Amino acid sequence: MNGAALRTLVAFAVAAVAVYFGVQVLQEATEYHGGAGSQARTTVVFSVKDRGFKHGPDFAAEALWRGCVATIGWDGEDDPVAQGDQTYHATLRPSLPSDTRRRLRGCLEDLTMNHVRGRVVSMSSGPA
Amino acid sequence: MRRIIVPGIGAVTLVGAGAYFVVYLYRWEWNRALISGGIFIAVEVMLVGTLLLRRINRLAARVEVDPDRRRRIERRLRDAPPPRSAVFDWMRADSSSSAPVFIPILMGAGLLLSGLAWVVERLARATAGGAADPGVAATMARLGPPPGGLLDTSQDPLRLLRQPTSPR
Repeated sequence: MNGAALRTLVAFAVAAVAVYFGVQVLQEATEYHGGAGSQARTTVVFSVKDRGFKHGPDFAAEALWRGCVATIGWDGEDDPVAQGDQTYHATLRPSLPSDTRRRLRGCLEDLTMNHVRGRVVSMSSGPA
Repeated sequence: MRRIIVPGIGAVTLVGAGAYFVVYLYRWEWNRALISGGIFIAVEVMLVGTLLLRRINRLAARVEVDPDRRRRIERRLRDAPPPRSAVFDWMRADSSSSAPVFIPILMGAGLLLSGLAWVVERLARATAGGAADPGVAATMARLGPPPGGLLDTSQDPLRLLRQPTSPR
């Protein structure tokens, strides 16, 4: 085997290993593990911005919140309460682990609902 | 300059779309990940198409750049036809070979057939000779002369009519 073929083989092996571990890392990062955090609750403060949504910001916030928390696990929850300036806070019990918090944030900030875009202002876990 | 700008912008867009695709997947933002993935694929196809089109244009330009050279090559091709195939040269009448290859083939085939005929003749002689003699003898017995020879008239019923006083 000459030098060029050996270099090609080594490059192919390195690329294959990198792709394999990259896929493994991405799979671990995007996998839903479920479970609960160590705290009693997680409070989420989020805002909504609508464009051409005909049912008002309160309905948009509630629909967005319910659509997103339906994809994760929890035992108790408080519906979003308006804080002014189209900002709402809601609570889930018990607290959420870090990957589930990331999933909830992604759902709220993704383009989940037509004409409505959410933005998470804060997400914190603490005692009841 | 334009040759660098378009692929450069495409490459930057490709890298950015791919990076954002991974980031959006990590953030669980599936809709944005789908959009980034679509942009990534579109830019990838555009870059491949651009590179292929550029290569084709380069080849076309290389062919058309020098018509004199093309005409010269065409004339050379017309003047120098492809060489005649030499696979069956020995079958040609003007072949340089004085002894066609058929002669040894026919000689060998004749030798083989002669040997085979000799074997068949030997086999027939060894197997058919003894069995044929009694049959032939029985057949030939009917064709043989009568007892006493063809001049013996003692058995002829017309003998008295020919010679009434012939003593025997």
